[in-house]
Amino acid sequence: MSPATRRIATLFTTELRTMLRDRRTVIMSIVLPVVLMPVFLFAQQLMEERRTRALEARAYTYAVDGVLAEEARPLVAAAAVRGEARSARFREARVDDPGAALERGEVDVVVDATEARAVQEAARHERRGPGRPAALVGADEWLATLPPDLPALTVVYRGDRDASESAAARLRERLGEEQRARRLALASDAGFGAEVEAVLAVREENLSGGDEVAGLALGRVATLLLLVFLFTGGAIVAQDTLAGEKERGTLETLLTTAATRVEIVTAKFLLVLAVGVLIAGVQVANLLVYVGFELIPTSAPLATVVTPALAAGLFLFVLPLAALISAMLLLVSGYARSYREAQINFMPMMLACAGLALAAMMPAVPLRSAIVLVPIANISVGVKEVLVGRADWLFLAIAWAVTAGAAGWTMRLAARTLSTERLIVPSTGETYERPGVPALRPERIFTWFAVMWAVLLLVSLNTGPDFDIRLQLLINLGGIFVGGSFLFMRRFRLDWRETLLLRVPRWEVWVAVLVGAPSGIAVGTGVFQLANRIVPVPVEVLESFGQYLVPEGMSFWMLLPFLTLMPGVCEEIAFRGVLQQSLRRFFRPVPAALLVGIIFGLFHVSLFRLFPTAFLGVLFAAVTMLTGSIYPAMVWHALNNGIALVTGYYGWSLAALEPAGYAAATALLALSFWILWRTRPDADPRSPAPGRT
Amino acid sequence: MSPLLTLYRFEVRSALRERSIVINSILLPILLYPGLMWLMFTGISFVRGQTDDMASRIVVSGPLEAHAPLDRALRQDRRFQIVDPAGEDAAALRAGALDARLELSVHPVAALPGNLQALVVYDGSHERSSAARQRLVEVLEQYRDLQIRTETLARGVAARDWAGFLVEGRNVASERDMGGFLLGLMLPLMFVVMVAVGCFYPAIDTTAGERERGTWETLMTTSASRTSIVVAKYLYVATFGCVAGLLNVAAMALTMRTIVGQLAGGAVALDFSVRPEALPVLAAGAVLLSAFIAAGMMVFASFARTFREGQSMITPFYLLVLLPTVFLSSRGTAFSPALAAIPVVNVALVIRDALSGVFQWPLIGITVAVTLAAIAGLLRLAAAIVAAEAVVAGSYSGTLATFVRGLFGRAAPAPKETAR
Amino acid sequence: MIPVDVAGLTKIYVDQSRGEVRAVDDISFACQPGEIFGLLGANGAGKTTTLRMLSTILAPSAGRAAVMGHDVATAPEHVRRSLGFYSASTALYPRLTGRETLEFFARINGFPEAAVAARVEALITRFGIGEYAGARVDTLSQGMKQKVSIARTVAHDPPVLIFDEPSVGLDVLNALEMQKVIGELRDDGKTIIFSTHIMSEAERLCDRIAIIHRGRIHACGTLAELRAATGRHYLEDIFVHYVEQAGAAPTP
Repeated sequence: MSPATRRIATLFTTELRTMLRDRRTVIMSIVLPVVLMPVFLFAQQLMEERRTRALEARAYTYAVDGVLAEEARPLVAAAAVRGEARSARFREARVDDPGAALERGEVDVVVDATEARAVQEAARHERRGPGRPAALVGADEWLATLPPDLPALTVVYRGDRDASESAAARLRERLGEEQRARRLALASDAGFGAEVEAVLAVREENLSGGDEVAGLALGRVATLLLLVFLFTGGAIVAQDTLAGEKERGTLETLLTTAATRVEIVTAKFLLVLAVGVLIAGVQVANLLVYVGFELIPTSAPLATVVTPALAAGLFLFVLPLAALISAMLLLVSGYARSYREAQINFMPMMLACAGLALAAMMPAVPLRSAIVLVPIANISVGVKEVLVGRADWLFLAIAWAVTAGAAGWTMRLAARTLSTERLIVPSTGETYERPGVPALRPERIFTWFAVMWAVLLLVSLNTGPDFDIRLQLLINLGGIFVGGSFLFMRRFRLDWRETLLLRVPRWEVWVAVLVGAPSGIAVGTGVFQLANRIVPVPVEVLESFGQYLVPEGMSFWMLLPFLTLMPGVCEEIAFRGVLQQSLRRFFRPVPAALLVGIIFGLFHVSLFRLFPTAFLGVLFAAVTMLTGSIYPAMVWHALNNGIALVTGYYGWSLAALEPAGYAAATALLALSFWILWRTRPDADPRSPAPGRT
Repeated sequence: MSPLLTLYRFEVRSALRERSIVINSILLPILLYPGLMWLMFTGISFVRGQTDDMASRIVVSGPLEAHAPLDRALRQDRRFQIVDPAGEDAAALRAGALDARLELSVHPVAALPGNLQALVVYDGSHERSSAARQRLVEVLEQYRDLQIRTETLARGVAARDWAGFLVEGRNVASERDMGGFLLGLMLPLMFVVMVAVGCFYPAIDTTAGERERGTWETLMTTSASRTSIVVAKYLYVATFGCVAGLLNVAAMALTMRTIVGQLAGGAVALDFSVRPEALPVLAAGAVLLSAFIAAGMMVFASFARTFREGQSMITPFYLLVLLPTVFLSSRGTAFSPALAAIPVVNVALVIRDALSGVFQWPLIGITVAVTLAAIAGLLRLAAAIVAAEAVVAGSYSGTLATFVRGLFGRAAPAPKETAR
Repeated sequence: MIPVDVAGLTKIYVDQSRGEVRAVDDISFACQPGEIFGLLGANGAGKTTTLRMLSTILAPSAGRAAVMGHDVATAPEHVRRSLGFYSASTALYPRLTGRETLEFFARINGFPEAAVAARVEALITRFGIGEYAGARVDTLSQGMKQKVSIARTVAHDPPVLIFDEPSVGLDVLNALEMQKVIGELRDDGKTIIFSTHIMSEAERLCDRIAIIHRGRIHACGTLAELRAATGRHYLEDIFVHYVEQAGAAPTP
């Protein structure tokens, strides 16, 4: 055994020993979840069963109302007794005012018997939304030809009462059965009885076996469940092992020993991994027991889906996921200066990872796509495909390698936290706060923008479509972005000229902007189409963009300044000004630009616009960094919006460009950035940019 | 200013400067809903975009020419994309390159001229394939109904008799009723969670946290009476729980409004504004709940000497509070006197009913009485704890369990003395 | 070989509101084998930062330092293997027993595996931990914890020992015990760097004393040399003399 391995082993066993001696940790992280899960599951199951049974065993009351009440009463009575032997009974209640009785809860449903006229009228006026499939086989035409005095039975119920809703559903179902029985009788009277069954008999053939379907059901949630188990299992140990040691002061002791930082992190990583895997294993076994006892219903016996060999293979496949999660937990713990800080950061991280693990729920994303490059999500999709029985070996291997690589990289970051002096030695390197002025720190910037985001979302959610778009823009851009930005600068006492980069750039920059803005849009459209391959955009969403941008009854040209200049100025102040300049204090240019882009994308509040807007955000961030001034980004932004709107207004679609068109646009964009690069203010003064005299 | 008020203001001010408390009691309730709702909304519209708007790729074979309506239905429907048969349909289906195959053939029983039989082949392990199958079966059934109807009418049955009657459904609950109902399904549960989360950190911070920082003793040496110190701390913890709970209701009502409406595709109009008559009940519920949870958490946390210890001591109580909320997620649960006797659950149910505009005063009375009794019991226990020198001085190393056992005299409260 | 050799060591922090802060500013000194070298300075003078750089917890901004010939920047592992670091902020693992603690630190610092058990027993006897060796550290008294802590510092028998304000928070008896132990360790041939702000401690223990103020060493020598240079007898007066002299000079 090499000295390094020996040291890691010594560290690992000691850590394990101290952990096991912490009785509370053991109880909280192992015993409690194992005991509580069945309790929660069982209670939920019990409640649902009780509810179904209660609804099943109940006797429902109905009243008949309307102009055709007398005619409909025997019909409803006949329908109501159908299926009585199977489940719930119905009883008619004679009440004077059925509407009021329903309101008071004296009857569960009211059958309102009217003439078909009203229904036909309504059907004629009903506008079909884009989502509703057209009934092409003549059902609507048939309805229109019916005599208008035909009885129409409307089952009236109250959707906010469980019993009423359940009664209505059952009664409608029974009325339908009654309808079918009557028609069958009519057909057989007309000498068309036995053959009815034979008309267009439909058989179905499922090419996949029961285990594949069960595998699909399991595969959709397996990774998510595993992820939650791994996170909750490893979290307590991870928080205790780095953040906890800092708090107890033992980390400094450890750092003065001969063990290197990588060794220390490796030993701790192995500990978190071991505990996480162990607890996840216990939880999975726990879960299987309930499946065995049928507390959780499954469509096919799990044993036929997951053979021991498959289980072993899956275990190997998900190992990088476990490693990545352990490394992330360790990273968060290492980044925190106390146990508490580690805990605060734990939740958002778990939610973000759980979001990635949901990838398996997406129906049309195979592993053989760009998703294979996204850690966690690729494992999630891979597990599903393996469970369904479609193992794509090459891509499984890529997914495995990608997530394992991410784990390794995260580990390196975690090891680096032990070399970050600010984090390991609490008494030195502390930022000194000026009296009354909070120090600017990354988490404070993020929190500030998170609050701005929430406010923006709440405002946009609570202003309806009939709200004047100009007013809404004024609130969003002027109020939230600019107001929030200036409050930010005031709170942290930032120099606003410096922060907003109010400097006049060199004249070449404007050439670059004029070239860059149109080509940027074309490249952005290309990015959007690429993104569309990963995250397909529903047609509805695309349609709703157009509606939102150009509301009816408003001059397009009058609206244009509101949609170009204002976002250009206001959004640049907030994002490329305040956000970017603050982040630049803590991040290097590339990560800062990426962060600005992502946050800018998130502020457009739609997953489908995230990619294109984030792309623009990064572009603008780069422009601002290269020119050292905010004005070019403002002009570019306004131009960008203007071009997009005008082309949209005249119906010119950039999406129809040929690949060569995109290539040309990319070249132009590159040219624009080349100009910016050559004329950047901190460029070597001895080699002046071309065209400069 | 009375020492109680001074202490209270002091506690609140220092709490507002503590990041974990601000995050858990203020930011979390405000940010959680917009964030979660946004995720949910985009997630759902994303999956909907993937399934609904994705055309089913189908292969159709058989004598379709004689059945014009069916042919038209399949060709004009945006949801279907008819592709040319490639020979290896089964393999394509298995690989997910094709969604379904519809095989039409002449049925041996000639019920009608050219009567068809259909075979729908699909692969249940592909979500898109299952959706295609469902769409196909739906269209086939519509066509079947049309054929039977046409034939029966041709045989002399009157259209009126065949139609018989129409069946419709109508929900008469108002938008506000439905909104209140849906809000009532989710809100009480989140309300309890949020009050508990809001109390959690302040309760630990003000007891164990003070011990850890060494400020506990400083406070005890001031001229303020021990009772006023403890009462101020208690009020402060309860305030934060209450604030967290109410902020959460506000954020939820604001967020739910449009998003859920959009999700329902405009089919259900919903109004998530909280009805005014429910507001006093909500406020009272928040106060009662936070008073109870704060008392419980402080009692549990008072034996901890470090923040971590405090956390693990409170967690059982926290889970105990959350456990009954499982019963709330089932919408059939009717508020009964038995449920009114269970703390936390009763308040949550009162809130749920209030959101739907239902006020069962006798049960509300029981709820208030039970909760107040529970709070009184906990405060009584807290008084006993405060009276115990060892606990106040921080040298007591037992837990609540050992203390309670000692209180009832079965075993002397003899925590193991640390070797000094 | 010079056990500890420090030349031009500097540590700069960048602070948002104060700009650059020179916590340690161009410090140089060398320790001879078997001597106790004292760093005497007020709180915040830069003692702890210097010693943390020596023990490779912090990285120097400029300058060079070597322990037993190993450079702190290029061979931090070798440096750490050759020294034991004791300070008030290096805590013990509360859930390990005394014996386990010593075994752990001996092993992790690369003490020959076969000799670990004997070494631990020797330490237990030497520091009088005997009857408490099997008890968990968090149940031990302050004095006993201190003994275990010193024992773990020397567990791997390093040639150089660093004591950073070891008597902080100790009562008189424990502080005297600490001084006695440090003296004994010197007698065993260890090179010891010892930082303190307590004059009597420095006077009694140190072979040579460096007076450090605002990150700079203002004087360095034996007590006799310092007395001769300043003409004052008590170390306290000597210290104040140098601090006042530094205060008169323009601050860097």
